[in-house]
Amino acid sequence: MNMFKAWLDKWWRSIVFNVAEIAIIFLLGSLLDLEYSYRIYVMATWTAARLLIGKPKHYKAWQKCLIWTALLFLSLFVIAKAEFLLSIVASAFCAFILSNRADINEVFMWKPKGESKYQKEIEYVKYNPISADLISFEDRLKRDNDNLSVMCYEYIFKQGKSWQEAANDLDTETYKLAPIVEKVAFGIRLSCKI
Amino acid sequence: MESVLFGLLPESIYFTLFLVFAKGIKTKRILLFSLIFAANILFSAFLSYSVWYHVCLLATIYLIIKILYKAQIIDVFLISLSFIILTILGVVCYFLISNYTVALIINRALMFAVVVGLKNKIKNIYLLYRSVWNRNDNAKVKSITVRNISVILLNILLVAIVIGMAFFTTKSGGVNNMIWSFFGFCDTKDGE
Repeated sequence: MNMFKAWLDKWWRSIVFNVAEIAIIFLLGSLLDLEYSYRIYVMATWTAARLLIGKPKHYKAWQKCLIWTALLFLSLFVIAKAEFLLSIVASAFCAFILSNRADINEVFMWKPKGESKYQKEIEYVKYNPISADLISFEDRLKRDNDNLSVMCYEYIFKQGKSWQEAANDLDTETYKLAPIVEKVAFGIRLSCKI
Repeated sequence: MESVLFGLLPESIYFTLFLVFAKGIKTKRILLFSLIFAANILFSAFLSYSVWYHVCLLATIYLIIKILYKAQIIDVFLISLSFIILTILGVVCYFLISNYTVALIINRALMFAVVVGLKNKIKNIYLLYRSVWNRNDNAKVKSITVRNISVILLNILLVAIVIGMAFFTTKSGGVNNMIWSFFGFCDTKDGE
């Protein structure tokens, strides 16, 4: 009994919120005069997809979660009103997109599970190509450094090539690239405040 | 023949150019265009005037670029952006110009003008979109918000396509009647 009480103390807010959210979303269907069965199918597809796909994304704030979920289901109910089967497909697709399974995965220098020593710098360059700090760093790199540093930056940080590939392209050895890559990475961290 | 020459062919070129400019594609462009054109013809033969034509075409274009260029799921929204632009141009031309042939010619011209004229902007939008897609605690907009907006816009596009398809296939009633009938406010599609 004590265990149950402890569990309830921990989870009662979440349970109340989820039940209220389901009720509000279900009632949203009434705005469109959508059949009950359609609403249940769409919500069930969404829930089943989230459970099967796993790694769902969540908002930390319950208000944002409620608002965005309501808007999403409103759009799904509008589709259901026009074309029911399409709403099922859209519901499953939305569940996939709103999970970490839909993250952009790039193959970096090493295996995806193993992180490179310069992972943060590589990811910053990959996902912030139009950042003013990065563009300023690139201009300084081209102006102040020799071609080998510029090519290292281009191959390893921008194009995501492996050290071996970069060394082959530059006609050098991988161990000779290490101090150059370290210098470039330091420059990125300093310029972009990583 | 006319529908292929003035419909499917320009649209296939449009989609190809859109992807080439947005993703900076430099290789296998002819193959990309050929596959998109083939998919367009195939789906228009079997799924004409149906929302499933657009859904299948969207999914197929995504599969094509996934196989050719190892595209990520985010590219579905890039393709849907091209659909949105095409839809808006189609609606504008159709409703503003009464002559169908003139509307078609202007629509095709505008289609290419937009994609060629905005090619740098399209690329920048795509790069910016990619930068906020994954979780980034330093970003101004949260990744989950970006994804929510994306899927909601995609859903709105699908509804617009359903309504559009119904509008073009109905024989009587006006646009308003079609829209209202979809939402159950009229008993028949004629809006009676």
